[in-house]
Amino acid sequence: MRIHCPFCGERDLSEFSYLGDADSAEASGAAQSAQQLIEAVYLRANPAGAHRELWYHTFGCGSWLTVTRDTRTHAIFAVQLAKEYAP
Amino acid sequence: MSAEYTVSSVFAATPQSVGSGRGVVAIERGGLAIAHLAARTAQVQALRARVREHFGIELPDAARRVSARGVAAAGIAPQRWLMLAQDAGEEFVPDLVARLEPLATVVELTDAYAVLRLSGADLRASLAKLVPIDLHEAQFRPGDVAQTVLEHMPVTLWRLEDAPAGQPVFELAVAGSFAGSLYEAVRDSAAEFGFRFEPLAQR
Amino acid sequence: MSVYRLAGEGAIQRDRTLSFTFDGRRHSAYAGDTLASALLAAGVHLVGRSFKYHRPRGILTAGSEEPNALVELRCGARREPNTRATMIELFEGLQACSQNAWPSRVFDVGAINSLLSRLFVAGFYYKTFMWPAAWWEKVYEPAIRRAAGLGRASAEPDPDCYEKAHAFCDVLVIGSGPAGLAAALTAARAGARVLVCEEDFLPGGRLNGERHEIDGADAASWARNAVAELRALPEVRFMTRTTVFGVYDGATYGAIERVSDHLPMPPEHQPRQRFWKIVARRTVLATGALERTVVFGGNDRPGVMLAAAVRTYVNRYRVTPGRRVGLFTTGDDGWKTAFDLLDAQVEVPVIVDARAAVGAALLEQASRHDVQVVLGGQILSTAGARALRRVEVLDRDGRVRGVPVDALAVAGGWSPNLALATHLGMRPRWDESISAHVPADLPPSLCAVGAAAGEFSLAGALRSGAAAGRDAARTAGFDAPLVSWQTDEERLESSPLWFVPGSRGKAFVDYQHDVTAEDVALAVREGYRSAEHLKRYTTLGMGTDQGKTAQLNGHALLAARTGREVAEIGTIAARPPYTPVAIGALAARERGRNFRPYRLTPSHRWAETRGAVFVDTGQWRRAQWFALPGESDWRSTVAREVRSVRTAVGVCDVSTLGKIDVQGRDAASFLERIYANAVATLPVGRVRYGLMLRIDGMVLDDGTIAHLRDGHFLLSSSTAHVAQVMRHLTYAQQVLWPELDVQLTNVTEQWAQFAIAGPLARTLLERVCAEALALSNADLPHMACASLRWLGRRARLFRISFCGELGYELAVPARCAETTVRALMQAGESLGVTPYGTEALGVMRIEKGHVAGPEINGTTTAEDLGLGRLVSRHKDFIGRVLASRPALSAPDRPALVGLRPLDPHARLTSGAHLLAAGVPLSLQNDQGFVSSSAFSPTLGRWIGLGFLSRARERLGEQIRAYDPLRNLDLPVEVVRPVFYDPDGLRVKG
Repeated sequence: MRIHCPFCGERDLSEFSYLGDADSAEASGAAQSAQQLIEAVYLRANPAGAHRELWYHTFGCGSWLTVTRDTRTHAIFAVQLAKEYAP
Repeated sequence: MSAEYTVSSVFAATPQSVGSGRGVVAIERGGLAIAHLAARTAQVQALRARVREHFGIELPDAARRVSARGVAAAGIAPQRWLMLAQDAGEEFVPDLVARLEPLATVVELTDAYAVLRLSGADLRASLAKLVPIDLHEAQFRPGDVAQTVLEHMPVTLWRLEDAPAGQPVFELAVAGSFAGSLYEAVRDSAAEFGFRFEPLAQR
Repeated sequence: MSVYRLAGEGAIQRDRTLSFTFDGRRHSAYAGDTLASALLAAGVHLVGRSFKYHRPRGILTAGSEEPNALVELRCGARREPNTRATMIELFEGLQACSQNAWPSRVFDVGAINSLLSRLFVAGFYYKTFMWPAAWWEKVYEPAIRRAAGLGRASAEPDPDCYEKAHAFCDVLVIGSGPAGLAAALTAARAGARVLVCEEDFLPGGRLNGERHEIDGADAASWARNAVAELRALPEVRFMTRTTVFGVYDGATYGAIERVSDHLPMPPEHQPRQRFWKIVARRTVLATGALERTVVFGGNDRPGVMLAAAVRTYVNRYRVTPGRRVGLFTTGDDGWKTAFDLLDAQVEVPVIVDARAAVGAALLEQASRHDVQVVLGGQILSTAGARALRRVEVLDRDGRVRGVPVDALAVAGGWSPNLALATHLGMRPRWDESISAHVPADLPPSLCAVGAAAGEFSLAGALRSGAAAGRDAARTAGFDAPLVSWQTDEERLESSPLWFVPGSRGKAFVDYQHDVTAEDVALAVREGYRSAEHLKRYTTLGMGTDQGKTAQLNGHALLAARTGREVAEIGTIAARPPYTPVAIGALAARERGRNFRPYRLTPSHRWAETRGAVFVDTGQWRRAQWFALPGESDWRSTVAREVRSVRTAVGVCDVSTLGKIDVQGRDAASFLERIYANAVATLPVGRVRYGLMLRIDGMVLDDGTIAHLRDGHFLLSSSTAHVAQVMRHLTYAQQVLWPELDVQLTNVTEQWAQFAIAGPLARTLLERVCAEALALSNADLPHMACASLRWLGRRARLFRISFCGELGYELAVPARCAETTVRALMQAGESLGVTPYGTEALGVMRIEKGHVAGPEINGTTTAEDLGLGRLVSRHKDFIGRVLASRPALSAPDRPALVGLRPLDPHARLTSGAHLLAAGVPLSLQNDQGFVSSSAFSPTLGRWIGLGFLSRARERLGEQIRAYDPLRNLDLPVEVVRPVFYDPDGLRVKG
């Protein structure tokens, strides 16, 4: 799999590390109740199909990326810097 | 304490060569002052203007390296750069801090990196064994910068102008503690073409 | 010259004779031969024994799909089992041995299995070795492993090296037969970056095995010219001996280049093999087609060979597999074999075509020779002890007659070579017109051409290759004119015959795994109806050849037995690798000392001169202790180092600890949200211990926070957690709170840091930096920091201590490290300054009850670690909410305790289980474990830290530490975790 990092360009999967569902991760920043956090930490979405997720460009520029990926085919539809993503 | 300190090669103490010594030549870079520059929130335009004014450099938006008057800026992440100055002395980075704060955070990394300058006719074939990125003539131009992975080590590399004979020239920077591992990886990848290494002269 | 070597040119070099041995016997052949062609030329037709029945086997194919002719190649440390004789390029002095035969391939004791074959049917293992269960590991499995199996691997270390490399291209062409060459030429002439990978050492694919003409020249020389043209183009890389073995997501391909396999030994600085990771914009699959066998009685006897393979041996290697070669065909294509043999003066006594009628041209051509043609015929069985002697031919009138032959060419029809076209999970489509599956559902970056797409004619291969090459080049931005080449249109009709119903004797479907038609029938009788079940039950297609030659025949048998069409059965998904790949090639350089990169501390060279013994901690190579001359026991060395620190002064390189620079307008509020304890109240010039939690409430790391100047902090983290902490901080910065103005810089490598600890630490420092800095308790109290000039550069001094003594950490730019440590040693000589390593560091932190890696293990909370009092109740921070889940503060949750064996001489081991005294040893009674232990030279006994249920109530209780791995079982007392200076007075000295 290859991910097009908005800063570094297209790179091999081995340069990146995976976090998981982006919506849950973003929600965890604002969540206050234990229940909200439990959902954000343990009950993350894992759909078969398009999924917006967070990746870290470990061996590249160190940017966190939101990657929209089809979990069945690994086709990537969009990549953005997480910092610039506005829901 | 104010005595002089000794600087010796971080790679390998003595000149070494393998085979013909002609395929890839590695030269240890010394005297390079390095600073990490990160724009403060909402200050990037002001920072650009300040850098332009002081150094005559346009901070690149992408993974590019630009230089003027002995100072280079290499884009390594959005709104982050490495500033590199050859033989600019111990005060280069403190001066940079004084000039650019509070538009940017400037942190000294002069001692953090070990840098090799690589050249030679077989350099691309040798680098193909080391880094998973496309360094083809037309794909990775002089001035291009990349951060990637080399045998599990994070590396930053950039291409300089070709040597007069048309051979490519790259510089490869790793964290200083990896110098030995980087050196061995480069030497092994170049062995079939012939390899020569020139360490930093002791001073 | 042997009777099997034909006159004429071919692609062998008659002026270069090579000698080789097979099973110890010397033979000779020519450069350009494979081991298979060389053995055939030498008259060796029996090459090995089969996997299960130990049946005599010969050579079935001329390519990588070979199921039978597996041999052990080379000897000693380079011995390689299961190599296909058809793929081994001959070199001078090559040594090969047959496999799976004892005492020899000719007289093999294991062949008795063949007589017992009623036992060894499909599902045999499942049924026979069910009972008693305890016998499986001790009796059945070892016996089965001895009897079955293939070659023996060398037990010695591989003396050769391997490497990996990366390639990028606009167009990757896999295969250099006519379709591949047409695609490559078209794309390359347009200027695209083209990479061609050819598995064989000779490019050209089928063009080398057939007698075609292209543009008026013979096809093999057309191929040579095409390759020469490609190789001369600057943007083309043409790799022979290179197998693309897998297709991966993101248009990434794995390939193995056999750099030195064709040489007795790799040349200096050359690897044996090179593993290529290829990224291609577009890929043209020109992998050709594979000829199928027909399932009939005795179809595995040495001498039975696929018809196209016979043509390859005849035309390319100028070798015939026999002097009287019969043909059994299901299509026009097979007749070419007969004509090529006849033209080479080899006798062809019979052509058996399963079809009732064939084109007049074939009959007319056959009539010019002395050949018996049997239309609508079949072959029922073969005969011959170790080589083929006779075939039994059934004609359409039901008469059976024996025809003496010493070889039989079998043409069962062609199947496109699908493997790479299905690696990403694509399902091929059944094409009734060619009775085979063709690639379907390919991603846009991939297309199949020529025989790989079911286009079996030469003209069609050239046409489809050129069109694909043009399209691929256009995608990369190069306009390519369509090239066309002149060649004869062929008539290639065929009608499949999957199996001969009235076969006599064993009829094999999978040669490598000895699966017969009867096994398929049995599987159906026992209820297995899907291709996937059939595969698992019979092991059809599970050999190293993945059933390339006969999978479809097996499915056809399944279809017939279950009353379905072949198309309804579907296919088995092929998985990478296409052909077996050596693990060594995938590991490439990363083995032995290059398994992972190492990191040296800035004072490494100095430490070497001081007799340091180094230890790998992650990637770091750190000084573990510094042995003095005459010290032979490392424990006494460590004890001396500890005593020196406790009574005088010691110096330790702690540069490996992570150092992260945090600045920005919002730096303080950012850290307030990161750390569980208060940061905002930390004044400039002071240092504080800091605890970082993960979002789930577990402790991520501990370290220090130094407030260097307004809005500028320096964090330290444990050596092992730097990358994780940096990732956590950037996550908070970029994802959680991008609105905060905060900049992070990892400065770990910029600073060398030395711990200077012990009652005389201040005295030592005063000798080297009194001018630069006032060091009194009033000027620089415990947990203070200051900057100073050091060797003309900026340095920092922190008054912090990990070992419990008066301590400082001096941070200097990394390149000053050696000068610095030498200066410290020199200044402290009269004080008895002692360098100490990680082992002494570890002992002293256990004596002080400081938690480290074994305690901060990802499953412990601040409360568990006895650090609950640090956690702020007055602010929000990462991990706050989930750390307060009720179960995490349940009283029986194990928490940190100190442990002291009752017997002062007894050793305590990390990993030992903790149980209450007097209870039976059982998992239910397990109450915790020892996390760290050490011999304390200060206390003169073993001590430990551990986690224990209801820790608070149990101080003073005697419990039991039980370590079955080291055979230790001893009573220990539960004590407070701080063994040394519990009031912490010494650090303030």
